[in-house]
Amino acid sequence: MQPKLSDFLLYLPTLLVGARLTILLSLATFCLAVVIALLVALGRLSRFRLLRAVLTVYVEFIRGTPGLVQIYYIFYVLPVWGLTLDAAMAGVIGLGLNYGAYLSEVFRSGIRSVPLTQREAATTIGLSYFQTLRFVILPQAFRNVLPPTVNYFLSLFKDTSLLSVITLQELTFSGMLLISTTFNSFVILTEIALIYFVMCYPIALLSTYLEYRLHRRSRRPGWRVMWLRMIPGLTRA
Amino acid sequence: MFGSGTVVRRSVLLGIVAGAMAAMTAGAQAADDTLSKVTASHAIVMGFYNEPPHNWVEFTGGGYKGMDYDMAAAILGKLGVTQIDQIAVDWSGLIPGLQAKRWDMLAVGMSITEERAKQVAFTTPIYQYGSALIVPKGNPKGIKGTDQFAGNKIGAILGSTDADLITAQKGDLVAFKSHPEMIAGLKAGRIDAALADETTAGYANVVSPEPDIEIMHDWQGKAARPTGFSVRLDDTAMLKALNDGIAEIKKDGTLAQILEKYGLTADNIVQ
Amino acid sequence: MDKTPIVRVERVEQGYHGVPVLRGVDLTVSAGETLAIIGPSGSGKSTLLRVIAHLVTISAGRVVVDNLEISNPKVDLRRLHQTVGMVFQSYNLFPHMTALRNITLGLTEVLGRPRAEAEEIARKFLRKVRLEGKENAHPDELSGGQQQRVAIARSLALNPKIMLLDEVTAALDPETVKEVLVTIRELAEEGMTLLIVTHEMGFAREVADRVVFMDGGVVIEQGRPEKMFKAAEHARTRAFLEKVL
Repeated sequence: MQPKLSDFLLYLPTLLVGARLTILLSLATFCLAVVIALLVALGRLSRFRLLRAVLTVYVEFIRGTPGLVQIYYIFYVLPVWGLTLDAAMAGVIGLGLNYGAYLSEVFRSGIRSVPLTQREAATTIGLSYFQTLRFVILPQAFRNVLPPTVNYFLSLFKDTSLLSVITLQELTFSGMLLISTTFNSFVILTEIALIYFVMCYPIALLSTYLEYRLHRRSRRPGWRVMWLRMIPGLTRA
Repeated sequence: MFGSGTVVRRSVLLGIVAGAMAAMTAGAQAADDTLSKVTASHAIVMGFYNEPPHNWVEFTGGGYKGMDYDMAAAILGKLGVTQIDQIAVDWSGLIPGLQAKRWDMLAVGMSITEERAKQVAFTTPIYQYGSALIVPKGNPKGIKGTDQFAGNKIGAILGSTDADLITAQKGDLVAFKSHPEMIAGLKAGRIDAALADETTAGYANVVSPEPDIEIMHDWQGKAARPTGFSVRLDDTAMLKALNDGIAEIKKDGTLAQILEKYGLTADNIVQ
Repeated sequence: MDKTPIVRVERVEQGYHGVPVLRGVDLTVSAGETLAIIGPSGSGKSTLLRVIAHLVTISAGRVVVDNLEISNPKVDLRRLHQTVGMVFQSYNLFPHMTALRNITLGLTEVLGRPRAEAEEIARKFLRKVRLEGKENAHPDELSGGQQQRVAIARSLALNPKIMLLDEVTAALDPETVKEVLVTIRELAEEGMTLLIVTHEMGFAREVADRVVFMDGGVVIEQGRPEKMFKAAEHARTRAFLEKVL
């Protein structure tokens, strides 16, 4: 079967509807994951032993079980126990809890990498715990965690395809449904890959740009330079 | 920068929590008896596995299609249902979703088996069909039936009765998520043969002819399997209503018409 | 000179992970006094400053700073931190903030001053430490001596009654040590109460009203600089001074 441009255009609207859901799910999940990760990271760095223990169990449990199983569990098993979340909610919460656990480790090490002497300096000028966090610790931790956090977002963006198992017709599932109806897997799979790439590439670009910028505050490269930098071998790092 | 961002994220979380609580309340209030719910609302939600000719959705806007969808629509119409909503899901999600009350009924050409009957309540058998044995052109491994399964890689859809048959016959099971993936795997030499729903295999080959494969409708060990609709185990009123409807469409010729429309015959009806 | 005691340290003991660092320190400081605390490494000098700044908690004894009993768990820490300013060996400026913001942070967030007023105060103190024009520089754009003077200005801007200086010149290049010492001398002359932990014996001799020698977690001997450097009573003091002078 010869791939045809007309097929490509025929499937595009359906796939773009899926892509829209992929974007919405990624953003909602990421917001939730960042909130969870920040609270978990702070909790695990607090002096409350019980809180630390509970949060450690949460992180290790999430890291020790497949994300697919967690999502499946929330959607298909929790309703049997009386907790029915709609598919989008179940997906965002399931994936958010998952990425929240991983991101919390990134945030935790980011916060720990800020020297203790910074906290002491903040204490001696009279800042409270929350003021110290807000003005001194988190802004410095933010720089450390920004590049890995953007990478996690990139990974999360593609992992929203896991949510196809709970009936969410995001980009991958939309494509799979098209394939099972039309059997035109070559065109559709190519199209899915291209759409993902077109959406992910700017994020990857942003990640490289931020990494570069954060390490050289005074010299900011233009976007054009960054574009070239993304092509291996073209410029020396 | 960090401070103002936290406020926005907090409101998102609050929204999520509020939505979750609303969803929980709604779930708790839903009526348990599907029949009274359906007759009151004139609407039903079914889960389906997108696979012609059983069930599929026409992506260009033609709505739901398929022999099982048509049968369900004919029967539910008699119960006063005017609106059928379907949710597409992986084959392995059909039964868990029914149990989780994500949907209230399955009309997906599912074979009635003992194992499945422990999880869901099947209607009386509606129609029966078997599997096709699909091999590469020329059948290089000489696979003519279950006797040759041992030592060969045989493909089947994940969770299907074909998969159980292959395992029982000591074949080397390779599970696929969809028919097109399985055919691609066969053509790529990843499997030596495949078992597939004969309706699916036939229909797929009409839509997208594959010169490199052979579809065998008659093979050693083939068994036709009766299929039925299914509901939750405790949903007895709905089950009885569906059984009554099935008897009716068998009797008045509607079922035979539907089967013929999708390439099967009245011989496939389980009397 | 006003002789009201502003810091009273009584029989203070403190340890890290069970290893005793302070073994019963007694010290009284009068308002406006300049104290140089000297002694070998590990003698507990820095820990004593950290006790007074409430960065570490004590295991026994009593500490009163400007009528605040800081060994009391219910002490008003906010008031304590406004009373006591501390400058560290490694400056500990906030690297993500400009010199000006380093100074205004405490003014706006702790003392609740409006931004414009805080910046005016910060500029005044930057002038005082001779760093006008460096308002918008980040710490990594400043030399060690300049950073240390920003750190001093950061503390001074909060109008403390007592300044604790913990080996503030130890990490500096020899040529920048002098500019920091000039700033400290000016503070002493203005009547600020200063507790200076230092290895700069010449500076201690010149600036201090009193020199305190610590060793092994206790105060061995104290007195006027001329007496301490010329005729110390204790053999340990003399042995230490012989080694460093």
